[in-house]
Amino acid sequence: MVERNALTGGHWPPKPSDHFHGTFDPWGLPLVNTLILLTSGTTVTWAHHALLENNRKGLVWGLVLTVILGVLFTACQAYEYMHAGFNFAGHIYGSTFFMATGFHGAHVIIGTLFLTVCLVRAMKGAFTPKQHFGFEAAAWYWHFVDVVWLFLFMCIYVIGAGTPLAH
Amino acid sequence: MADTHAKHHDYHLVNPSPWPVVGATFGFIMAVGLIIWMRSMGGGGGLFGIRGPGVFAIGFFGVLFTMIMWWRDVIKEANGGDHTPVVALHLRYGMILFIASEVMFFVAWFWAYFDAPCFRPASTQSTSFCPTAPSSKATRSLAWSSAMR
Repeated sequence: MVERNALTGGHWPPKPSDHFHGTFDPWGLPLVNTLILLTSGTTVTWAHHALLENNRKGLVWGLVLTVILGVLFTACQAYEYMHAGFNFAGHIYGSTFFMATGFHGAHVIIGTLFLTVCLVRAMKGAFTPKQHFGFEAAAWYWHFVDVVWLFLFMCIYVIGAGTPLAH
Repeated sequence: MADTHAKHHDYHLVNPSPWPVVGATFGFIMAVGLIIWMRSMGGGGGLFGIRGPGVFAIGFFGVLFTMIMWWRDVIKEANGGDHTPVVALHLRYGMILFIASEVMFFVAWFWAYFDAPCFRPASTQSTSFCPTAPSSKATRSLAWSSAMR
């Protein structure tokens, strides 16, 4: 069994060092990202209700906004990664941080693609108020991605915050 | 005689499709490629003597291609009226099970994240985050407690 203190040095998050300049401030971009995803959850619901009312314009606009918010989240996350005070290798904190948030980011991109496919189909006249499971599956998936982010935000960004990196 | 092949049920028996095996193959290449790529980071030596994101890229574009082709087939089937109420219900079951498996995938990463700070050798420290772990004076110096402010 690996001696865990050899991996963590007995401190979590790690003490600032040459390899670890500090964690992210959760109340900066991570909070903005939380608000972006929560808002996108409402816009996808708006699109769904528009579809149920056979309001095609509302369906398309709701999906357009959701896709834009998804892309915005990915852009913010990419910016955040580029300014990280630690890297993937070198410490168990960075490894687990980037595995968890990186896989979440990959799922955001997949969800955005899924919604984009629905948007293109919706613009071509697909989906009826009675039959639209492709859309519903995308919405379910999007909510799942949203909820995973809330857990990441609480567990890793807020509870796991140490000394924030000075920007 | 033509009646032999007529449908007497609401289910949809899909035609033979290459996408499951093609998707699985590229998915495997993508997963191995991801490990090679990650093991190349920070000046690492990679895996099997290969470094960089090349293998991952092959797998990724293969998966993307499979996704486009498979999705196209399903949309064709839907437009052809194959998604009867019972088929649509089973698509729902499928999606629910898929998302459940995705949830467990993320449980693994949270587990890895919490395992590192929470479970320490009994002789050393615990964290305020995991009260069942044996406590010691050193506990209070842990950064977890300062994070709980």
